[in-house]
Amino acid sequence: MAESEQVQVKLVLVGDGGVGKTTFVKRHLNGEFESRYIPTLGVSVQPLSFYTNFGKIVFNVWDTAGQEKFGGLRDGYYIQGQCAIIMFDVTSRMSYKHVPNWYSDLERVCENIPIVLCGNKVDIKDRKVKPSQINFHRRYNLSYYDVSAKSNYNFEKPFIWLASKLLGNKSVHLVQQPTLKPAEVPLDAGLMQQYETEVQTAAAVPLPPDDNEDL
Amino acid sequence: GKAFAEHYYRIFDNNRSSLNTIYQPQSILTWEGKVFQGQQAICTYINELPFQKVERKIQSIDSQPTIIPNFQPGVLVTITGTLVIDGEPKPLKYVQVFNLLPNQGSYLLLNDFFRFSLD
Repeated sequence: MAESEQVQVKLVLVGDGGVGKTTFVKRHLNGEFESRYIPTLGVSVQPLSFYTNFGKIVFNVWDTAGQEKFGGLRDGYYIQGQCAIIMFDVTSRMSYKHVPNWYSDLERVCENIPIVLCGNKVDIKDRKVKPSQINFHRRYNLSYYDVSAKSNYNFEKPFIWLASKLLGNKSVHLVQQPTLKPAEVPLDAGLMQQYETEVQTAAAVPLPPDDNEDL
Repeated sequence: GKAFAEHYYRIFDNNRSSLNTIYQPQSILTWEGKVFQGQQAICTYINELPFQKVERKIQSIDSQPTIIPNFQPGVLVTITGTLVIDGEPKPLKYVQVFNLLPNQGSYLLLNDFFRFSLD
């Protein structure tokens, strides 16, 4: 692919209300500037551009106006989704417990698209869902990242992984960092290092036999 | 009709747990295509919806009497409006229909339909 070409994909963002989906996508400054609301769908679409070694890739991120909290998310939200992020809040066990529901809704409509699981709010000290308890992605070949929208921690990681999958498992890296809002909360670098180690350790442990992860 | 709708939304928007004063064992709710029968099923579903606050703007309330000979008339009410959920800056259009039966000098909410007006 030539440097000047660009790829546009629809990214469906799902997860319980309050996990920080909207905050997360709004970190990307150009995306927020170009975001448009489609009232007939109740959806905002934010084009998030990333400049990679394979050219520019634009994730058109679909975000709801909160209708999922009102029992009102329709299939139209998922239709023609090419990739997805399922987000939960690491300080809310309930939001992790609902991840399988979001996954099955996505799979029902989109079938076999690349999906990343993101545990948001890892900047908060009182973490309830530990890396060792996050197993869901391993059963279904999703990727997983700890993220913290408010501190920009790992912001680009899910997008790089999705880009790599969409381009056919190519080794993708950014040639230019996206412009993000300044971090709003400080991060404990030592703690993040510890979490990363825990995520890697958890990945090496054999999966428990059933789906009922003990939370 | 208008008085009932305003009363219903006052409770729904501020104090959902008291909706059992409105829905009765005979009530049926169709909410975004999902059907709930009876006070308990309806109130449980609405109370478990995970939104915190809702700002509502009513655009129209239209009412008609439902006249059947030898019976006291009821009221059919249709409402259109917009909802802002948990401070999202994006309003969602919706439609709601109430079918009210006369009941001991007051009205009973028998049928309730709710839909977002989305594609």
